[in-house]
Amino acid sequence: MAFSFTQSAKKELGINKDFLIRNLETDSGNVSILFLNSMTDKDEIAKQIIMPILSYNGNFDFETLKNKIILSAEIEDANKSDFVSKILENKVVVAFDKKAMAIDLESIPTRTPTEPPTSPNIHGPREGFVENIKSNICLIRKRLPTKNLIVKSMTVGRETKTKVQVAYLQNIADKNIVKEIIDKITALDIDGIVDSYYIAECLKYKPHSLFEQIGFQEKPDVVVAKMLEGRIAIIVDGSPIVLTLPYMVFEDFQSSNDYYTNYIYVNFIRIIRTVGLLIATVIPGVYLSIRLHSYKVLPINYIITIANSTKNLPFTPLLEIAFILLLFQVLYEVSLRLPQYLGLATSIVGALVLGDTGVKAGLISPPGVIIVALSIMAIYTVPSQASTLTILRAVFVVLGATLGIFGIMCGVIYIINYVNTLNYYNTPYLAPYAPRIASDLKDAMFKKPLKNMKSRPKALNPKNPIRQRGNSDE
Amino acid sequence: MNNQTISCHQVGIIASILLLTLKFTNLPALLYNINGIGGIITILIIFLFNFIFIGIIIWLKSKYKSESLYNILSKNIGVFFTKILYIIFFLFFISKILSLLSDSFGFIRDVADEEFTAFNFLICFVPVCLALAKSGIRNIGRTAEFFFPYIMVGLAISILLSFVPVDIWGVGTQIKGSMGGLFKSLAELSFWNGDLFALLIFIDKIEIKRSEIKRIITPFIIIGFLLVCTYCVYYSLYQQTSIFHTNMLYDIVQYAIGTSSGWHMDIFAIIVFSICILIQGGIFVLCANECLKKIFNFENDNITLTAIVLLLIFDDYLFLDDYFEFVTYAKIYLSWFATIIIILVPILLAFISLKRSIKDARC
Repeated sequence: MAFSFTQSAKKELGINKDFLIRNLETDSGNVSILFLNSMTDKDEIAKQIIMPILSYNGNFDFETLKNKIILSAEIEDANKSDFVSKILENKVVVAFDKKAMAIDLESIPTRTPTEPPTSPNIHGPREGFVENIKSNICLIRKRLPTKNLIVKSMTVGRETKTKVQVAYLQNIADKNIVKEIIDKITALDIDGIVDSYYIAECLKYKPHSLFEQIGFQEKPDVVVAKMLEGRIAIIVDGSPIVLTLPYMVFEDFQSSNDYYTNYIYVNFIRIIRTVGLLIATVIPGVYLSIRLHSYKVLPINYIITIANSTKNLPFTPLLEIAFILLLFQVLYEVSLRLPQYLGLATSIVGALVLGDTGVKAGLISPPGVIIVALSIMAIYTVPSQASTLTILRAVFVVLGATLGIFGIMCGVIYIINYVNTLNYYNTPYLAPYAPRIASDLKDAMFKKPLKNMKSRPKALNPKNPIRQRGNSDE
Repeated sequence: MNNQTISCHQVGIIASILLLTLKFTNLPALLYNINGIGGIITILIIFLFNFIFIGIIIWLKSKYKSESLYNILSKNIGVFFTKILYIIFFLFFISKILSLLSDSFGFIRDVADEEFTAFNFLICFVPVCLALAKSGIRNIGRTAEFFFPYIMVGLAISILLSFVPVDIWGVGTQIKGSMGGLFKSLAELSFWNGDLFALLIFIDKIEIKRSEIKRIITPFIIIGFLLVCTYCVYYSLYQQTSIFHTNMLYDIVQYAIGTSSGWHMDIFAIIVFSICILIQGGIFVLCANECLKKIFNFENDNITLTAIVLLLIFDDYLFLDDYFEFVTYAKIYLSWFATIIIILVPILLAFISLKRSIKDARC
């Protein structure tokens, strides 16, 4: 029995109510249009496929239909083995004369690129990535109109068939890293990819490590800047987060604002971020260690103030700080999940009722609340490291309470040494400070003016290390 | 343990930390006890000696590009004598770790927490040193490189804080140590010297380029200068009472605090010293581990590191609570190790290198 596209499609997809077959009877024979009603643009189907076919005078064959009658720009051949998957990829399949073609007339709900809520800009572009992979590639490509921009596409997920694209500049990025990333993604055999984080998990060297191993970006200007340094971007359909590799920890000390602002101010802000990181991580632990072990390092009037504030507390200092941290963390989780209009009410309940009443009731001390609040706020000077810092803070609280200042120093050395063992994608995690790469220090903790940044970061092994030519006023 | 290499800058920093750490604790008081304020000259000579030692390492590296110390020795004096030497090296490093443990424990108990117990100290110190040693010399080099700016700044701040009340220029006129005292102090306190010998143990993992030699020497000279400055400031501040102090860096900051009503900036001294002792501890454990592996031809780190930990815990049980007893032991017995290590081994290596040079010239 001869193969029929319509019969075969009905058999495989007929149970779905949004699967439609439109048959057009012409002088040349029956033309079948197969598509998913929910995922395609019906007006465009009518304009680009149905109307030209019905208004064509005379006989036509498949090639004429494909090359002269149908108006769409993006047409590809389909065959009996792949036409169903093409329909499921939101394409319109036109079957005629025992042959078929797939036409891209996808219409899915898409956000317009808006400023991402977690990376607002004062100056500079305000576009952010959206959930549509085509829009995201478009946002990158319009900033990099060069033949050196290579976008490699693959489909991952047995059920979700998610499109994943790897974008890089072929004259800059290290080809070994590109190959390693593509190999890892293609080797992934999973039922579904729901978000880019699924791909991030498969690209990690150490899945059990606390520390971020991949950059997560929401803004096309940032991704393009990273690609120009030699990094590789991974865009996943359905996710507004683009992954960048290789990753170094000092990336998170840099904000896109830094590149659109006076560099002297940027240096000042980066110092504030570093101090913020220290406050966020170790301040509660240091407070406990001073209170419990090394009170001598404080001036006498501070010792008296703290002693007066904490003298009648029912909890031990460790329990007190742990209780306040827990309280803040619960409030944070609640505020994330509550509707926005309830957020203010939660803040009032949390800060005023629980905090203030807790102090007045003598359950927690004012210095404890100040220290924890300072630490929680300071975490958001480096927001992309918030999850790591929250865990580290808890570790330092325990170390400070049990082993004092020396325990905290041991913790710091242990963590820095551990972080130094991380060498993902042949890139040292703490570069350019450990190992020290002098030329990369131009944009690390401190930033020099753009005209001084003549070379790309050596830590990323770029193919072409020269970024800028000409003299500077160094 | 991975066999990755360390850069010239990292060698310079590791050498600086090795020079620095054990000079901060009891050595200043012991030097003053023997040679008075002439201890400054002794420390200057120790610095120069270590500087020459770095020169020897650079010279050896130019002769033996990527050969390990074990290979160099075993090819020239035979495997048996090399193993005997490695047993001495192992004992040297173990005694150094014990000395570091005792000094650090005394420091932490004196300045940071009076109720700090030996148990608390060991559960802090030993795991961190083990983690450093286990991660290999490349990671120790990177960790040291990361912290080095903080060490320098902390050291400089500690000196500057105490500078105001010090008549630093008056120290020069007070140096009255004798030549006898100088030699006596160098000989009796040789155990506090020779930490740089650790560099020889992983000489095969050092990458030295002729153009980058200044990257080894620069941090070493800066730290040496800061060390001598610290001794000058310390002896100027405490003079005859120098022999009663055991934590030089902390004490000079403490003096400044005594003359001001501000914050207790001695936290800088605590942080700098903690970083130094932990990194140095990691280097010594790594060296002891390398020696043990060579002695017993082990490939696996886990067995040797476990043996080292057990040995340390047992020795600490003997010494940690009676530090002054350890100092006495060190002065009498362990100085021999140090003398063999820091005098005989470089001479032996120089002899071997000369022999090779003559042989190469004949060929």
